[in-house]
Parts: sequence; C-alpha cells; structure tokens
Amino acid sequence: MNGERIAIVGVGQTVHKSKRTDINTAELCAEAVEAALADAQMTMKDIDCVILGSFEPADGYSGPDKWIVPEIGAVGKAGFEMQNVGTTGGVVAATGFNMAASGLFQNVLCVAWQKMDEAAGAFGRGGGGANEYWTGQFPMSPITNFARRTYDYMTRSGCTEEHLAMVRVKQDQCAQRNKNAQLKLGLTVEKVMNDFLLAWPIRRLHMCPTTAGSAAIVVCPEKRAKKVTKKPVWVEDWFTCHQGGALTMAEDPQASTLGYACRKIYKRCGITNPKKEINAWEVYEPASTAELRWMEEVGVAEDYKAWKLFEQGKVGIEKEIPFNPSGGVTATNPIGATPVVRVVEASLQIRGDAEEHQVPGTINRALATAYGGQGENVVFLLKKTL
Amino acid sequence: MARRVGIVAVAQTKFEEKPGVHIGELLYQASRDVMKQTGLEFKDDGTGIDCTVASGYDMMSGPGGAYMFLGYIVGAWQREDERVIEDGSMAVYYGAAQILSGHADVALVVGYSKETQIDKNLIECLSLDQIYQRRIGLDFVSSAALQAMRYTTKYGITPEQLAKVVVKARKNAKNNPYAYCCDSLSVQDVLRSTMLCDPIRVQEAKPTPVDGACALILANEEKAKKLTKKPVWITGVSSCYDHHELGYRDLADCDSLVTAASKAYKMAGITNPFKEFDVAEISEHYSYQEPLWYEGLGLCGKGQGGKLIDSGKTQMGGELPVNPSGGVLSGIPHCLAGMHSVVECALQLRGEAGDRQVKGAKKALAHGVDGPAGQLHCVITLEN
Amino acid sequence: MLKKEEPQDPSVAFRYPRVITYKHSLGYQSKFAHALKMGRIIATKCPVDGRCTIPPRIVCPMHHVKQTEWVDQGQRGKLLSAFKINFPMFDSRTGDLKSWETPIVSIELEGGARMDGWCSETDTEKLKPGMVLEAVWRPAEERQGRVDDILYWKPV
Repeated sequence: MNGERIAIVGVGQTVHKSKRTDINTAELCAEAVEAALADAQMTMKDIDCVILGSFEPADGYSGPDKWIVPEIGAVGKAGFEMQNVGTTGGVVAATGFNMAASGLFQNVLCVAWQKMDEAAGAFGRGGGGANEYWTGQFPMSPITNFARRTYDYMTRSGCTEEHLAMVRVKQDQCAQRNKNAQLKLGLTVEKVMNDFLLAWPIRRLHMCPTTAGSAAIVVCPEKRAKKVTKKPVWVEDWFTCHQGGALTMAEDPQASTLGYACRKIYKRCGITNPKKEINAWEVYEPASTAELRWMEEVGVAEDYKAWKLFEQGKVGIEKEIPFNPSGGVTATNPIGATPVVRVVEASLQIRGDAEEHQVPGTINRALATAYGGQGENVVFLLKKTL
Repeated sequence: MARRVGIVAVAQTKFEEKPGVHIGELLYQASRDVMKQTGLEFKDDGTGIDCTVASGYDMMSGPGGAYMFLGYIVGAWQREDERVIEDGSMAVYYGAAQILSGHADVALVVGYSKETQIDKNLIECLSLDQIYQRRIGLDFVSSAALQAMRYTTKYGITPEQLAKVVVKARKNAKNNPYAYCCDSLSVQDVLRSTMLCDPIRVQEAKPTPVDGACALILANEEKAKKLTKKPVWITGVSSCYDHHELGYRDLADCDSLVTAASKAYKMAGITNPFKEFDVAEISEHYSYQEPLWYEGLGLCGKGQGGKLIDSGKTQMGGELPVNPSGGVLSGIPHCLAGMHSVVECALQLRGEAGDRQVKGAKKALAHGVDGPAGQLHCVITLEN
Repeated sequence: MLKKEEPQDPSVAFRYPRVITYKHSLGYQSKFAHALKMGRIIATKCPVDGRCTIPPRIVCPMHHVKQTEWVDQGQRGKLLSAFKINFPMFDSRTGDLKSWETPIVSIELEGGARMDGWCSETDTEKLKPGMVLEAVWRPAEERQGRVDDILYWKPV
C-alpha cells in the first residue's frame, strides 16, 4: 500500500425488519446515512464523494442511485454505483476505501441498501444468480446451493444435523443481544431440528431471511480521520476475490474463494495465527450451516473440524471464538447492504461500542467478509491502532 | 493529481449488431487484445494484472448477477474483480482510483454491452424514480426531449445547428473502421427524418441496437513507463451527480457537468480548455447534447454551443476537433460511450488513430454521461 | 408538515408489474445446443489439463487458454450428490411458483464433465453417490436445444 492510510470514522445502520412499508427505499437509505453522519459528527456538506450500491434485481431497479442520491442530499458530489451480486456491499466498501486512499477525496460516504419487501420473489423469478441458459431449468437459489454445500460438508466431516442446529442456536443467542437484528426467536436445538425442511439438510431457520435495511460508513484518509474522531477504526487491508461463477456447484460443492482471500490478506498483513491475532469475526454466512466451513476457511478451525468447536461450546460472544457476535446473516440479511453491516458491526466491536453484544476485552483486529454467488468473497481486515 | 495513472493499452471491437455472438465472446476479444499488446496476464504475485473493473448494467445483460458468469473470461478467476453500474467512464475513474490508492499497480478495465438482446428503453426507465416519473411514462428519450426543447428555446439553438452535429458525426465515422453508422447525411436528410420524440428526430438519436466491447489497461507511473513507449496519462478525473427530478434543475444548463469539469481541470492544471485541448471525445446520445456539453465543459460560453458548431472549429481540421471517431451518434452501445471516449482519446494521443488522427494531439478530453437528461457526468483529462 | 390534528393516513403502496423479454445469444455455445437436439452431450476441453466443462466455456477459467476442442460425454454418468426441494419455488423459465417432485442430481459424465439434472428416482434414500445413471431424452421432434431436452436421469 503506497496510498494514504485510511480509517472508518462513522458507521450507521437501520433497525433491520422484514418489512418497512412505512417508508420508501430512499428514506431507508437516508436513515442509515443520517446515523453514519451523526456518528462521524459530520453533515452532508463535509462529504465529497458518495458510493452507492444494492443488488438491483432483488429490488427490481436498474441504476437506482440516480434517484436516491438527491434524496440523501448528495447532489453535486462525485461518485457512482457499484453492484456485484451478494458481494455488492463488499464492493461498495472496497470502492469507498480505494477512493479515500487515492488522495482524491477527504470524506467518502458509502451507502448500501436492500428493501426486499418491495419485489418479493423477483430474485427467484429472474433466476437470480443463475445463468439464464445453463441452470435456468433448475430452481437454483441460495437454498439449493447451500443444501448441496452442506450435504457435501456433512459427508466429508461426519457432523450431524444436531450440530447444524447448534450453529443456528448460537446465532440466535447473539442476535437477541443485538438491538438492530431482525430475527430474535429464542431457539433451542430441538426447535431448529423440527423446523420445516426446505431441501435436506437445510431447514427454514437455517436460511437467511429477507430484510429491508440499509447501512452506511464514512471513510477518511489518516490526517483527516485523526482530526474528526477519537476512535478511528483503521482499515488494514481488503481483498476482493471473485471466481466469476467459473465453477458450478456440480463441479465442486465446496468451491469458495474465502480461504484463498484470507491466506492472501494474512500474508500481506503478516498474520501467522489468525485465531490469536484477530479478536472478532463478522463473516457473511447466507445459511447458518455455512458458518462451519467458513470458520475453517478463515483459519479458526481445522479443515472439517469446526463442528467440534460447537459441540465443546467454544463459540459465542464471551467464548473462546467470538464468531458473528451480531447474530450474523441468518438473523439479518438486506442482501446488498449485508456486507456493509458486517463492516459496521466489526467497527463497533473495535471501538467497544457494540453495547449488549460487545465482545469482552480489547479488540485489536476484526475481520469482516462478504459472500455472493457461488463462492465470491470480499475480505476486510480492520484494526484499532495503526 | 499528485501521482499520474497511465493508460498502457486500449482495444475495442467493431460496433455492430451481433445477434449471433455470445456476450462473453465480445468481452474475450477486447480483453485478450489489450493483454496481448502488453503481454500481461492476471498474476497474484504483483507481476501481472492485479485487478479488473467492469462496467455494464445487470438488467441489460441478463437477470441477476450476470457478470458473475463473465469475470472468468477476462481471466479474473480468484482475482479482484469489481463492477461499476454506470457509464464506462466511471469504470475508468474507479480503475484509476484503485491505482492511486496503491491497492493495485495494474488494472484491467473492461466494458461490454449487448443491446440486441433487450429493449434498451425498458431497462433505462427502471433507473427512473418509480413514484413520480415512471408513472407518467418518462424514459431516457422523453427526458432528453424535454431537455432539448428547453435548451433550444432558451438559447435559440436552431434545428439546422443540431443537424450539423449529426452530419459531422457521420462524416467523421467514415474514417473510423470500428464505427457502426457512417452514411453520408445532409442537414436536410436529418431534418426530414422521422420524429422520434419531439424535437428529437430518429437521425438525431444514438443508433440502436449496437453490440460491442472495450478494454483498457491502466498502470501506475513507474510500471506504465516500463510497459509501453507511448503511455497516455490520466491527469484529472471527476464525476458529479445532479438532481434527478427534471423540475429541480434548469435543463438548459448542466451544473453537474460544470462541477465535474472544473474539478478535473483543476487537477490537470487546465485553465482554458478550448485552447489547451487538442482533441475531445464527448458522449452525445442525442444531437442537442453536443452543444450543451460544450457549454458545460467550458469549451464555449453559456448559450454559445450553436455558434461553436456553426463556426466549424470543432470539425476535423478545426481548432478543437470533437469526436473524430464519430462519437455516440455513430453508434456506441449503452454503457460503453464514456469508455469508448477514453479509448479513442488514448489512440489519438498515441498517434495511432489512423485516418481519424488529429495531428500532434498532446492533450485530450474524454467525457461520459449517465442518467436521465445528463444527471451524472464524468470528465477525464488525458496527456501524452 | 402535517399538523397533529390532521388524520394520518396509512402508507400507500402500488404495484409496478412489467414484463422484460431477453433474447440471449448462445454464440459459441450453440454447438452444445445443436448436439442436444441430436441427443448428444458435448463439452469443451481445456488444452492444458484436459478437464471438460459444462457449461462449455470460451476459455478455461483456471488456465485462461481458449478452449476449442469439443468432446463427446456419452449417455451415462456417476451420481455425485442428490437433493430434493420440499417447498414451492420459482421456475425461472416461466416465473411461476411450482412444486418440485423430482430430486436434482449432480452427475459426472463418462467424458469427465460434470452437470446437473433431474432424477426419475424420487426416493432420495435410494440415491447413493457413485451409482450409474443414464439420460432419458425428450422425443427428437420436441427437442429445442435446451438443457431440459434431457427429461431426467434414470438409474441403470
């Protein structure tokens, strides 16, 4: 990195709900933007660049930035819209980081949103994320993808349905302590195991919900960041890793770029023992069962052994491995905004502002990720001190 | 700009209707071309291309994450691969920012568009406000017509002046082997063509459908000098949003273009754009836009765009030739216009523009636009 | 601003249904579609490691070399995995909700390429990885060159 060092100086998100019929999409964004600006103690006047993004086909728009920009008061600012399936929010944040680090801007605002109550099913109808000719005949969706992925994981690792349920219960326990989370259900292993079966071994509770929500962050270069806040969250490194649907699930059910991206970013930042050196994790798991494999790929568990950690009760906010203290994506999933929510939550952990779901002790480093399609990832490494 | 970003290679496909070609083939052709020119491949050790930025609307190319199935074609398997959902000039902007931030040393910027598979207007209208504008049937064409009407009446721009823009574009396109439309038109032909959306006539609008792809390789200063003998430097770049509601702005002026241009000129140290630039490629999707964008870009005073066209100074051989390639009016696909401008400017500055070469071009101006009635502008200044 | 005494109406929503028709060109993949019409499955082969891919790809994603060789994949394959969808889901061919009775299977074909398909055996308990399946085709005159020209896969 020879550009400017950068920091997140303000974060904001809406309270995530399944429906927000009381407001329109632009107002939803404005809620998160207001929160982020207030957190950064700035007004829209200070911002000189806005980066927007949502997963358009799930909302039924094309280029909605055009009418959302004036509604959040960003007329006359530089910027553009990014989109990349499930990793949209990740790409939005990465773009914001690049813009701030390029030296072209002083205060960059990144906004991502999704209002899934407005185009129910558009994602499935359009064969979301499915290639129009090749997989169009199959009802391909995250559900079927993760059914296949989890089926394969279970055969390889020997874990049982009970372990999958344990993961979901852990996520619910975390979500109950997060005031912004959508699903707070008071689950038990038994409840999860008796839930409606979507496609074995995926039950309804295992899948991420549909959410209306938005999240925003304000990013500044080093000098400016030190001036505006006492608690900057430094962006150590980030890496976008897409495999471009190059491998279909039929070819490799465990196809993912997360492990590759993490190894690369750890090497660049000199991290040799991620389990020790990273103190909080906000990882994008579209299905709770994916958390097991993701834990292995980011390096907190050995290959195909993560389920044992749940059996031993080692995962949780106050436990040895604080994985997804916010409750994660199975509790809250505004698709396009989800990766930004991960960055927001990771930042809150570092600042010690996560309130009820704060991980105890000093959080020096946190890792946030984005996931999309069939194994596309963006990885962010945030830290407390430069 | 404190540091410079270099364009080391550019490529484009022939722009035409290609109903029998897969969208990936267009992308492969353009990206392979620039990779061959430089001998670069995607590498993860910093010795090749580090990242790629694409531009293209999802809803245009197919439902749901269409680029997911295209990224591997340029070679971005397990690599940094991001996409801007705007005009292609914004992808160049972001590619340059990635290099300035030091996150990448070499970036591949690609743009693709296949208008033959979809009705362009259907998709464009999806980016309009759904509560007010779509309800009254506005789309990009009708909002452009409103702007044309306002602009021509406020400043007394004549239909003949606008027709001359089209005649110039098609004449220039004859020298461009990649152009789609290069028919000999007279001012009368343009004025007699069918009315598309009053006051815009069919010949005054961008020909559609057209398919094609563009690609560029950007690099930081040090690497650009090693990679090519003729690097083209991006000296200034900026984008700017305007109001979306047409009623919020005076459509006869383009404030966001003025802001974007002044920021880019400041970075590049340009004070008198008309004198200092040797060539310009601007995105005129409709004939009225060329004189209007002249004004926004500061090439002439407010309301003087028509006179500048009459003067012939912007024709080939004039003081500042605008759109030697024929520009968008000769048929450049949706989303690609701005990137095509940068590609053409780079060719001009390298002296490789063939029959359409402006002799001794040293500084060039590229422009891209997106949104209804020019809501989002991007200005890029280049030097050799 | 509304005054307090004014009645506050509930929020309004409106529907915006629309139909967008896409016409996607298959380009180089047309070869595959023509083969389907003839009742054959073919795949592109990577010249570097010989890996066959379905969908056919213009370049090998891993080695980034152009794939020009087409290889016949035969009519049989080994089952890799199978699962059944127990809830109504959108059929992206029509956009309608539909119940899915038959399981989806992943198959490794004789030629080495892997692809998805439907299976005639609806009891997933009986589907074991490694078992051999055979393609059952639509009658020749009804084939359209689409992947669903293969009606389903039948255990041998």
